[in-house]
Amino acid sequence: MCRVKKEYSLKTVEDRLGILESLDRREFLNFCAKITATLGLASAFIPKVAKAIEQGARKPSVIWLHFAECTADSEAFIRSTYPSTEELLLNILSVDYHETLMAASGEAAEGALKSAMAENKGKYLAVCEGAIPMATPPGPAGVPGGYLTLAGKTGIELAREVLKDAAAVICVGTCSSFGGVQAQRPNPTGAVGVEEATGIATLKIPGCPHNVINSVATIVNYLLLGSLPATDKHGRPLFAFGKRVHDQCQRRAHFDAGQFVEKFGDEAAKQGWCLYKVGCKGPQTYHNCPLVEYNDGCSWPVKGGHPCAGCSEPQFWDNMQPFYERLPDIHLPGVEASADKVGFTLVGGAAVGVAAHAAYTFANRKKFDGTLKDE
Amino acid sequence: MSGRLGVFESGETYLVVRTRPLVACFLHWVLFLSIVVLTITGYYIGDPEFYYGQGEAYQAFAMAEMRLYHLYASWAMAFVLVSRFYLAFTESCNHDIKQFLPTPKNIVNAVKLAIYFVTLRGEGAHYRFINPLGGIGIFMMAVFMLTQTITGISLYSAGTGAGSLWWVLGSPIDSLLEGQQNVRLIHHLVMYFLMFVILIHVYMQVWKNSVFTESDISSIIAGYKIFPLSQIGHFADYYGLRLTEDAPAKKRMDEVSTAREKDE
Repeated sequence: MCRVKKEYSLKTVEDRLGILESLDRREFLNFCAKITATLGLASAFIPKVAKAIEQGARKPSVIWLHFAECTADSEAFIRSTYPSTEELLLNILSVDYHETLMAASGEAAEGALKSAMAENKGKYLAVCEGAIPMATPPGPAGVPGGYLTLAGKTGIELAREVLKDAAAVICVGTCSSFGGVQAQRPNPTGAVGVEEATGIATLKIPGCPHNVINSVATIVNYLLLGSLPATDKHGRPLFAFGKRVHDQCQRRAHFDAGQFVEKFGDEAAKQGWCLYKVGCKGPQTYHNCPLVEYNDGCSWPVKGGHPCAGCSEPQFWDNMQPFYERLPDIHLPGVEASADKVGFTLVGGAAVGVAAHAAYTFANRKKFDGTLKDE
Repeated sequence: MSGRLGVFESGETYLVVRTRPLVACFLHWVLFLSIVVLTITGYYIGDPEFYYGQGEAYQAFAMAEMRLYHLYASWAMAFVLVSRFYLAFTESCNHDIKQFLPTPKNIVNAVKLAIYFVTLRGEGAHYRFINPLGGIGIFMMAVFMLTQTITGISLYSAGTGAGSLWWVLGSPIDSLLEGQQNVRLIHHLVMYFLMFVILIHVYMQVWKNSVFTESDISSIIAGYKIFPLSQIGHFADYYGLRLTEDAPAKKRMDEVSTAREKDE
């Protein structure tokens, strides 16, 4: 059963920020053990993790930028229970600029950004949320990247300005990592991930939204070792994206057993069988959802009966659709069909052709006088 | 290369010629079996329809077994691909790599043969070894099987974990095709392409076996083809036969002819 925390009864960010009560020792060590396990470190590292988190002197400045997105990753970020949101924002990190969470607005907000950049040049962590549109809007006022403007600057201008002096860039969510839904075909705004837009290497924590335990674990890794964790070929931390959802799934035994949900709500669904046949993309998706789950280990889509949509993979909006089918459709000029339809048409056409040829041969059998074996 | 002469019951002289070594026949049937197993288990893995695990999850291994047989069969297919590729360069297989490759000459001959097979007009060339159309078909099959092997390695590597040998081999394919979904789509689609070519291949062999006396089907079982001399006299070049230079064969042929004349 889901552990319901008292903090969840506090609905708003203000409520949550208002608690400002520190964790007790047991809760703190619980959190440290969890983070240590998520990072794939031995239990001997727990005291080091605890020390790294307690170290106020190295509290890094964080500048959190929003681009084209839905703010779900900020929402996910403030769902942290251990450490609590307020611990994370104020004590563990120094989040100096965050458009959604900061109290200031207008010039005061822009001033906070400038001063944070100036005071921590080369030392701050830049966290990016959302894709960056690169296309030029139509019309005389259209400028490259003009589909997104913040404080008179385009998204790409702001990204280049802030990211160039960052110690490290962390992309949270699929949009900033790979473009996300904005980059889905036909991608009218030319949206791309932050790394592709700026050419600056980033560490990516994709997910729709990302899991806060992974971003916290990444930050702890940074505090502990002064560097970002090892990554896979897409720039995702290996501790979280090194294994497939499929290989860690609670329903995996039903996959191997050949026990599948045929349609939502059937008897197999009630039995908690494998969601492979209703379009689960777990076999193609690298994420640690089954282990850490969302909302402080409460649940994740497959546990709740919905197939994995593959949200942490590049171009998942294009590659993983249809979400309730196993395979993507074929998109070629003049062909928009499923692989099975194309295949059956091809093989069926060949079978018809073969039958027609056999009939034609039979009708022309006299041509083979002397060569037909039975004559 | 000469052949062995014989006489049909009807009195017609025939020639028995080696077309391929027994090992090539053996590899063909290993390949056939592996493709049957791969198609059935692969279709199940893609869309598990006809077989379900019974009882509790720990009591059944339906999908696990299918995947295991798929893996075994894929090893068999890869083994055949590699060894047959090697044999294609040897004297025993008549260096038949020349017949498999889509060279301009092979393509022209294949088109001529295809026109003959479809229209049944004109004169169809008889080939002792693999005909150019069949050669191109086999080339396509080899390309498709290679694609299946490569995409299969990529799909298999996905669960093996970063750093493993399979990962090193499969991960670049995954990157090249922009994700596992595309790899899976190609693996699934190419299965149909393979079935398309195999359907035509099997039909053509049965057709030729029914219409001509070449006995294509027995040639893939025992490695011999049988030609009536009346059919191949003017096609001797195609067979690489030196009928006139082959004294024992010529002698035997003359004897048969004389015997037939006497009978008449």
